[in-house]
Amino acid sequence: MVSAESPEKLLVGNWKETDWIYEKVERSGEAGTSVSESLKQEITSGMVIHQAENWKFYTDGTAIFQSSAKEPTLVNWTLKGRGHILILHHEDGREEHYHIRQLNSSDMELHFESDLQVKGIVKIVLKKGG
Amino acid sequence: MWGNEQITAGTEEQLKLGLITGFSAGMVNVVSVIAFFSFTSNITGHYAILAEEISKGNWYQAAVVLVWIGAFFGGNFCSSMFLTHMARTHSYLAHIIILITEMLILVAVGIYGHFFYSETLSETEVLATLLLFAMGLQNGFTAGISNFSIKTTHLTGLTTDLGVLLAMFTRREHRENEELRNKAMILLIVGAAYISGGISAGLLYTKWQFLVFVFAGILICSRAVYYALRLRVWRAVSRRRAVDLC
Repeated sequence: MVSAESPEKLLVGNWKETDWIYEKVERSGEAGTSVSESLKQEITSGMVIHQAENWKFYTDGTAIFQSSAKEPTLVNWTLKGRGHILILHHEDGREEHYHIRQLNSSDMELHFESDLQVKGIVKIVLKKGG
Repeated sequence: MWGNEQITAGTEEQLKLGLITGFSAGMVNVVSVIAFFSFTSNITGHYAILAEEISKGNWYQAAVVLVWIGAFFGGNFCSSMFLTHMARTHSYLAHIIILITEMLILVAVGIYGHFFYSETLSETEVLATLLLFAMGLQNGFTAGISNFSIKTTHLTGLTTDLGVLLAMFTRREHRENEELRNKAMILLIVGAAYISGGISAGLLYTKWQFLVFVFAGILICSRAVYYALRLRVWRAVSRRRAVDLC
């Protein structure tokens, strides 16, 4: 789907995680495979997206990550570059960087590097709505 | 190139110019990557990104990258316009105007970034555009006064030229050619200056953040001051000659 809107405007809204996939991995045969729930928990330990199923981005630069298992987490977000880098700023000063591979009015695909268990790029697929 | 020996820089002049401009370009590029996640002293990668964003239908991002490429082109064009039209009568003044303009942009970006930047995407895009224009100014300037033998904001051409020269040096007649040896030396020094500038900027950024751009601007200003002094000396010598002739 083509997009001519600013990424900041497209990002604002409610997003739901639909899939986690290993995009590129060091070990052959693993690319394109879905990430298991246990591995997902291990990879995202310490990250704001840990256990978060619903992501809400607001126009004032704040975002809330919600899950049924824990309290919602509030962070600040910024976009950098040409709008292809999403940075989540924790209250304690930590930052998480995600490469926005695709962003339009209904779909978002984020990539980040994982070096736990299997080294590679993890792809998170989200759908807008709800 | 413009037929006036005062404009075309000799080897020593190219060396000093390449050292300062290469160092500052390295600083600007590294800090831009850290702060904006975007390169601002070269555009080779931007052409590839432009093609990628067009192929994916991301028209907004494609437009942003096109503006960035245009800004770098615009900087080069403006530099060359000054050098072309002021070559015969006000060559040093042209140098000063270009360098001061570049300095002002770097200082403005540094001050804005340090005191006012709220990290919105629009601010990032505008600041990156200004930096690309400034680097275009610098690149056009160094290329123009070195007869296109030196470009200090990107190293693709520099690496290519160095590879060609080193291959040529496998033959004795080229190794004994002083002009070629000087050119190789200048290219090596510009490359080293660029890397040194980048490393320094990376280290300084942890403490100074955006004020590193101000520092880079001050470095460029030092070159402008040098040309201003030369202009003053040249005018004094010219007046003296005119008096002697009378």
